[in-house]
Amino acid sequence: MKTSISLPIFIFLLYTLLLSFTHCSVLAQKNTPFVDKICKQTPYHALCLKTLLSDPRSAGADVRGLAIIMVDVIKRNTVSILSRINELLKKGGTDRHKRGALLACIDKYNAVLNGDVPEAMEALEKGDYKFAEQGATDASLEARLCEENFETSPITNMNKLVHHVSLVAASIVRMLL
Amino acid sequence: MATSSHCLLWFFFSLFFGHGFVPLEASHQVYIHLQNRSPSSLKTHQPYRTGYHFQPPSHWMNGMCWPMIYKGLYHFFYQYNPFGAVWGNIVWAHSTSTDLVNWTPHKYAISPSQPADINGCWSGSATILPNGKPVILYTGIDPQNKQVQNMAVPKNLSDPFLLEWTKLPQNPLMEPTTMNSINASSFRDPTTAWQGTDGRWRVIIGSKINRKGLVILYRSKDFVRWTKAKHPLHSGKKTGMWECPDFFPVATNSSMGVDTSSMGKNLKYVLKVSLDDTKHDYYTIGSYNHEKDIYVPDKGSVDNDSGLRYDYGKFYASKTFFDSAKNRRILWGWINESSSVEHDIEKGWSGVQAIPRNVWLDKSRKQLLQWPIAEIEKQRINPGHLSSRELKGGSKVEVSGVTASQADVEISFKISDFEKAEVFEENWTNPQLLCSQKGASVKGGLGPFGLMVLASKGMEEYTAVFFRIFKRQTKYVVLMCSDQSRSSLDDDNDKTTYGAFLDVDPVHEKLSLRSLIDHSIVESFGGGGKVCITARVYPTLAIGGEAHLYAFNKGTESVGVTTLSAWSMKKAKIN
Repeated sequence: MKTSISLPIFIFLLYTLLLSFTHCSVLAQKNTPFVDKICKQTPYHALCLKTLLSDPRSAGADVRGLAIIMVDVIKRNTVSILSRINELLKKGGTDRHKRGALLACIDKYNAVLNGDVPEAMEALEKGDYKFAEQGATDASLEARLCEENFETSPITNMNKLVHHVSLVAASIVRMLL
Repeated sequence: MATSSHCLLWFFFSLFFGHGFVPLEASHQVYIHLQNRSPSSLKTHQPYRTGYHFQPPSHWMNGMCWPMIYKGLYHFFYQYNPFGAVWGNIVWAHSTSTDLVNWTPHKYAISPSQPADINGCWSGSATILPNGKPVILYTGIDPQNKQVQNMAVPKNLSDPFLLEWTKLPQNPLMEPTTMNSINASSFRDPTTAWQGTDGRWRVIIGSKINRKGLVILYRSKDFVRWTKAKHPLHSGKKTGMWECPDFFPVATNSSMGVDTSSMGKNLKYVLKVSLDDTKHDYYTIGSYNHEKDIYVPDKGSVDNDSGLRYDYGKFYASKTFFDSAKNRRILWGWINESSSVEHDIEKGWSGVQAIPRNVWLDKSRKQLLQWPIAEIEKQRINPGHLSSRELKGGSKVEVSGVTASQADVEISFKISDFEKAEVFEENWTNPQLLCSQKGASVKGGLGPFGLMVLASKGMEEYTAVFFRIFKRQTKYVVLMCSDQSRSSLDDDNDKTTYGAFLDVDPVHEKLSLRSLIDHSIVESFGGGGKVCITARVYPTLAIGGEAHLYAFNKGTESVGVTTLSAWSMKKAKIN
């Protein structure tokens, strides 16, 4: 871009960007008391609050909407952990036991990605919420079982995150039953 | 939601003009060990598939709400996912049978095809009209993801297999509107309809308003145009969503079944609902006021999750139908897996059905009794009987000569000495909790005694189904448990223990127990069907020919075994 016309345009665009962020965060803040009330009923209040409020969709969401956001979060974190496990396996230099545990975790997280998450999403969209609860609960189980496979886990924090957000999702879904 | 899309619009507007392109995340990545099983690639090692309990060859099956009989042939429609071992993409699968034991699969009866069910064909029920014609009412998911009720009729009534079904162009026949204020995510599972004295049809549909569960009543003259009644047939506070309701009459003076539309004296009514919240099927017995269309449970009924259940283990979305060929009422129930979803995907399937049970009113009129249909006994071979004997405290006796992983066993106990029975504590109100605390390995005064099924040779694994007897003032309390805590060395599975109090007087009556064992399912019946407990187990050692069966007594006091009969069960053609 030519500097003679780009700078004003750039400043204008930066302003618009900032405006959209503050606009969104003001709207999200309006719904904070409701989100807080919901999160207080989950086993990980602070994590629930932080996760939901950082998603712009929480601004106008009802309980079902919040549950949908949390299932999305399970999915995102599952994709991340699968990616990390892949990296660790490619890197090599892990002992046989650790390698076996990593491979077992892949199976578990594939089940979350291909089984639990789509099941929970469809259940939330169509209104048979117990299957969303089932999917979210199972996701927390798979994360725990993955972690328990290791003597020294290289992915403890990531496993914990999936485990915790899954339990948060399950407890939000329970409010719909 | 409108405000958040507004936000997004601003955001993307600013980004776009700043950089001209918003990169998208890769939506699909392939990971090693990714499983995508088709039926033909089902894992060959399948130690948990059943020999004589109904299940499809692969994939997911859940609650089936519509068994029926037509022209002497039994039909079984069930919720099925053609694409995977979890719930989703639900269609109606269809099988038929002449004996409720051996089944022939057919093509899917119903799958999404019209707006009223384009997003799903969920549960419903069959009604046989007075002219013998079957019709089905079922829940469809419409384009807005609302739950609506639709109707389908057989395309060709002269086809006894009823392979093809035609959906009414008028569908949906019942739907949530702003006028009727029905919750569009909580309106499903229409029952078998019944005719009132005025000739009009009634049907109830499961629903809820906030935490109040209810069954919405609809009436119709022609089975096509339905009008919502002002009041529900029945409701319950703080119970959550009522799913898969079932409403039917039972005879007070006979164990025979009666038609759903029956009226007159010598009848009581049963309302059963499946509780979404707790995954339990509970029922009450009561009276039905035909004029006002109101159901009132009998005085003393526990009308919530703490009430009477068909089964105190795994048993959900059950439904009865009137078998007009044999004048009996038969109960079907869905038994889901107790394994993790990863295991389900790995084995390629999920969900089995309980053995169909006869159901009738107990003489006391306070509960229903259930017993596996007589036809299942045709699968019995290689009978083994143990002579009556005393089973001393701390002993066990092997029942050999049967395939212990696929068996039917009946045992009867007689107690002569109650001296050592422990005292019952009044705060023991939760039998399931009591069984968890006092599992099979906990020695007692009088009990635990019963069966150890799917046991490994070295007893590393076993599932125990047993009784404990406690003294309560001048009477005795019988606790029946199904203890899965040592059922498998694999800790990935749910090994919760189940239990219930059994209403039998052990002083004057014998204590009977029957267990139907089928690889990964144990269905137990106490007191001739007064308490039923179904469990799912996944042993790693006690599989196939390596499974053993024992009668045991880990109490202090010895107990008398009056009869013990066991049979191997022939494999049925389950699909």
